[in-house]
Amino acid sequence: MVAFEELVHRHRDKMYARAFSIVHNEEQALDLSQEAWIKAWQRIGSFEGGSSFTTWMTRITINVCLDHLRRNQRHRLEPLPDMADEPDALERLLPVVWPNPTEGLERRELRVKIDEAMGRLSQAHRTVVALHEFEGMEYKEIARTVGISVGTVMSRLFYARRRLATLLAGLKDDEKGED
Amino acid sequence: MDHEFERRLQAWVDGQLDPTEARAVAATVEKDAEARQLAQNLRSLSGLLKTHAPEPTVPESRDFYWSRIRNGIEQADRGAERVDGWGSRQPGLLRWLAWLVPAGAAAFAAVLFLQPSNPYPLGLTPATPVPALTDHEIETPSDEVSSLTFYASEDSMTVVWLGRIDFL
Repeated sequence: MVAFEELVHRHRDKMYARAFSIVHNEEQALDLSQEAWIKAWQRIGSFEGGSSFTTWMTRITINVCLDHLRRNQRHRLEPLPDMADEPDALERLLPVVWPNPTEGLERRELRVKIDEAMGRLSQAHRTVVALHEFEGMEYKEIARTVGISVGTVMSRLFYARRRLATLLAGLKDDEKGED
Repeated sequence: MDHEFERRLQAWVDGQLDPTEARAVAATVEKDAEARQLAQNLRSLSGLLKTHAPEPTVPESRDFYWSRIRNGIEQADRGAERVDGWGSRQPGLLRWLAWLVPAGAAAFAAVLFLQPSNPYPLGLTPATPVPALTDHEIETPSDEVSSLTFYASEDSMTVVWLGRIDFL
């Protein structure tokens, strides 16, 4: 178990970050990343080395998070994800200001702003963005992992990006206003 | 630009279209300034997210984080041992019973059939003789086998019903 502890130590931040990018809650990300490590220990015999350990472990973490979200969705009165797939008619009419990454905020500040904006997305949209942008998953893979159609992945991703652009622009404007 | 085209444009930017579709979208982008601008915006945002992805770190010490995982693993292993222990003992018991039950039943039936004229098999003579033993039933319950003996005096026949108690 000493070797496994070393593996946990080496990869714990990445797995925590991945869980956090999906659930956007510190406590839940901690619990879920730890649950993922326990599952990894139980399944370590099935790891055949076809992919890197990080890739294998990340998939376990993502699946643990998605299972958690599915369980929660059954017990909570949240709007159905499909209802949130399409942007509001009103929002679609608003001009969308897309942020320029080279302008304005410093690198660290920008990370914080992106984190804030991600936190304001719905769970369904955040998950798709995290899997595509941070994990580099293709549409088909996201569809299979989350259990939705490729069309829904495309809709959620487009809406989430549009919303992120609006949020980031708004956050930058807020900052300018405070100066 | 309709929503369907926006989605396809996004897929083109993300490299998710097949070559034929990609060529069609590229042709539109070349002609349509609005589509070109949207494609550029999508690329910028994607680049921004990829290069500035938040990377939070575990807000717990190494030892504390690991201790919770270790406890979880130990709990899971103990649970698995309990299940494995039960599972590994049961098949042996079942195999033993699988032989014992029919063997015992066969022996019991053989004793009965060897004494066809005896209405009281196995020497089970009642203290007070039953006046007429016609169609008399004797039940001999046991933990593993249930049996019911029926003697039909008219036919001079003893019939034994045997049943295995399904305890699982």
